Amino acid sequence: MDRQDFPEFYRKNVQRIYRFLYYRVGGNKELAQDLAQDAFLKAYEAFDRYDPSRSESSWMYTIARNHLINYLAKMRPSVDLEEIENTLWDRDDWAVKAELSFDETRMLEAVKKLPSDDADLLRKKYLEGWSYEDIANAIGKTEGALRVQAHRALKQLRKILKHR
Amino acid sequence: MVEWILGRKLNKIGQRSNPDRKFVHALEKKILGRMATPSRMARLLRVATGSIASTIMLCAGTGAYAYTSDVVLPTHPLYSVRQAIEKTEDVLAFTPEKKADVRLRHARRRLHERFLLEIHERPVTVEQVDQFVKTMDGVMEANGKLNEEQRKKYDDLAEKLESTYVSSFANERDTAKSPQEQKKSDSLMESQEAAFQQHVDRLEGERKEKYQGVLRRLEQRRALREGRSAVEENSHTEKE
Repeated sequence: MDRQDFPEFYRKNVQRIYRFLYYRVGGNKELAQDLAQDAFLKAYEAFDRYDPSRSESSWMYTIARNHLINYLAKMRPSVDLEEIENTLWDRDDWAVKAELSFDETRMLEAVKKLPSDDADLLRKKYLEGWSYEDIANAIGKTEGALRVQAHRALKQLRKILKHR
Repeated sequence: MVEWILGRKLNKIGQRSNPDRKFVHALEKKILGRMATPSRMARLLRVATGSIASTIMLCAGTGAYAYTSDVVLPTHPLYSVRQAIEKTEDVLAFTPEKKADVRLRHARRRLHERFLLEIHERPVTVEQVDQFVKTMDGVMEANGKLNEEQRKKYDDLAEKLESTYVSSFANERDTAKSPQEQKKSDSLMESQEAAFQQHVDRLEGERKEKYQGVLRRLEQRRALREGRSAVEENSHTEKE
């Protein structure tokens, strides 16, 4: 891809990537900004090697995710990379930093209780702002299947909230 | 219906985690700045390429100057550059006719250099004559490899060059002024004629005879002049 096209690419993906990072660094805005900046600058350097046949979102998501894991691994050098990845959503303090209301906090806690695939889908779709098309490209499912899965996940979420 | 509301609430939470507009614009500006500025490697490459290109152009420019300028004469610092270029030209002349052509051109340049030295009243050294002789030997060698028709053409051109060069011996003598200058000039001329004699010895037939005759006449004139000078010196001494 021509680097001249990068600004357009940036505008399409900045919000999504920032949100992805934001939720994984406990709602720390400054850190999310730093990581997002680094991720996009890395993407810019690699943009001429980017294969347009591959989904833009998943390519950028991979760069951001790898950058985040490298950052967290530096912060916790004794911890396994896989463990870092698995615990990205387990921070307890991010709700406070994100200035959520009580109900909102309750909702997000309920999302955590969903099966991991469903929780991941709801986070990507609603919290991080991915489109069904981008999610489909990233995880290899069809859009239709994802819509059905999201609907079922929300139904399950309602049940969890009702019972709390 | 309720699921839809839940989705909207989650959306609202998500939007609260949008990046600041200020941050988004600042990062975009940074990216655009990087687009305008080449990468460090590209900058280094650009500097290196520029340096190499400048060096090549400087060398090419220097070479062109050394090759064509009338200022570059024997004893000039760039004269060796001219000689190197001429050597290269000779090597790159692959056909016999091309080689004869190139060597004749070099001989013409030696002649031209002699004229320029005379114009600027600078001494024509024996080395300069040697160079002409060497170049003419090269011309003869190249001419020897041509067919009969071509050889005649190039031999005629070589002969014209030789005649002009020899006539410059006489011209130089004529421009001398005082007896002391004349004596100095004669001594130098004798050396030059000896150097030219080496070339004449390698010639054949009418051409050899012609230059032998010229050199003999020059020697006689010099002897005559030396005799006259000796008489003038003696009369001067007597007067004192």
